[in-house]
Amino acid sequence: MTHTEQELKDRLGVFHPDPATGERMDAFARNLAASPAARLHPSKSRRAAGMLALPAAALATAGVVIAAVTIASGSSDDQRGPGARASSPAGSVAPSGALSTPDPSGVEWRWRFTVAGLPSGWTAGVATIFADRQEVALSGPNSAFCRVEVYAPDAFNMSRVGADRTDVAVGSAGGYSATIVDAEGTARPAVAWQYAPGSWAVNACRKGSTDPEADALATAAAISPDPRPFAVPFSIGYLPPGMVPTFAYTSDPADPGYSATVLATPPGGSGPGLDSYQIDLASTAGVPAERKGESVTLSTPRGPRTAVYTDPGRLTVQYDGFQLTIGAGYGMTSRDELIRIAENLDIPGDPADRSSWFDAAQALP
Amino acid sequence: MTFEEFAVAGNRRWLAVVTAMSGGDRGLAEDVVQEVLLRIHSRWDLIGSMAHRDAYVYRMLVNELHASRRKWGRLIPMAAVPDDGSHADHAARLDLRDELLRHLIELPHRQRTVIAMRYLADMSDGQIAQALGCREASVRSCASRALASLRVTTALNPQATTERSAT
Repeated sequence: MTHTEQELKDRLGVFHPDPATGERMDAFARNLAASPAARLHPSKSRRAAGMLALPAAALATAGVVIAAVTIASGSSDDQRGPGARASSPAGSVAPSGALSTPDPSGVEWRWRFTVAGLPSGWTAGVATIFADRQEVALSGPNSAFCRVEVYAPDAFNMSRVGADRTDVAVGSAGGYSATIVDAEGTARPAVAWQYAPGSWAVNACRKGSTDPEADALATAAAISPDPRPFAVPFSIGYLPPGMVPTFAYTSDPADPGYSATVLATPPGGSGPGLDSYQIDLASTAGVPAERKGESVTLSTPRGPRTAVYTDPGRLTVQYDGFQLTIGAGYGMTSRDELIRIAENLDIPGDPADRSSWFDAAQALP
Repeated sequence: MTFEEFAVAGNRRWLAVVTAMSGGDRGLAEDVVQEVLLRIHSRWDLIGSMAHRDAYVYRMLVNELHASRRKWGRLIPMAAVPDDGSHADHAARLDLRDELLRHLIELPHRQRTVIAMRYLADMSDGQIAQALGCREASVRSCASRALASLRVTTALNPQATTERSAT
């Protein structure tokens, strides 16, 4: 059967947004225009406009996923990361109690945690980074939905836990089941627990959950300070001045959709933006080929490599089954900086071999 | 033109184009458009005065969609579990039963992008080339392959063909 262009155009009309979505997007733009502060917290402003907060993202299934989020330090020492890491041999971890101790290595991780061992049928989504917390969405059977807010040390105000609190245990941590005011200022039935001394997380389960408290407790047990060092498949030797890693993520390399991402922003950055660099190592399965561009020969720690530079601000390098992409925000379109990042990036011969990965504490400057 | 005027004027068109480019994923399209709006807003003083502002925005949309897919697109989508009381999109379900749209979704990403820009945003091949950073001939060739795959004939609509050739 053949069609005409007009038929094609008519049928494409199904992709036009419905009126409510259009209005919502307009409101988002108006809010943005009216609030200069929104520039600093893009994800927050997005949610304020009633939009889906998550970047349509998720990891893999329970038990096989490690997602770690790190946030660059602020100015105070008491917000820095695990203390004993630098003096510990690779593979060891800092005791959770050290979360409020300055890191003698100078690696400025504010905090970090993993999502691992979710109950069967639950998945975790990589969510939003804020200055004081990381939010993670969990989805479960029957469209159950929970949102976890993991707060930086000392960032959670206990007055948000209602008087109806009852004591609960989340793994070995103590906490409360209560009506809790979430980060958006809405009071909801939720579970709050202290994942490390002075460090709180809140989990509220809503839509689809037949027993929100039970779901919140079961899923909360999967959110914890990393019991293992967080490993990344590449080691960064150079970042442009003023840039620090603020976000790191990796899925299981056995996953056909495997990818590892490190985002570098100015300290305190809240996500990808004009002033960020993003380094992705991803399986090439199903990934569209990069556009043609300028061929660049890189001098990497493991020998010469050919890369392709494309405007605006993207450098790609092909590996066996993987593709490395280094992208710059629209305000940072520096070809030379991208090349320098790539030339100082160490990638194992087989990025799928987890034993060859690097401890993030050392690999991310 | 203010940022707000620019955004409100373009929002729906951008959403439609990105939805088509993404193969009908409305949640992803909203995310992509929002991210791009945030970036435009952050640099409105620069972008607002650009001569080829629209093409630049479309390039941002394409890049953002590409980046989103690279990072998250092959993983389990969360758009299915929004906590806003929304429900499955009836139109999206109907899409699956439409042969033409089903074939559109099966097109390579770049061909789909060209089709979406041409027939949803009414962009000329020159504007598409500017947005994608390629030659106009590449756009024509890409569109031609896509239309052939979709079994769409331009012969029945000579006026549109003539108009495009003139741009």
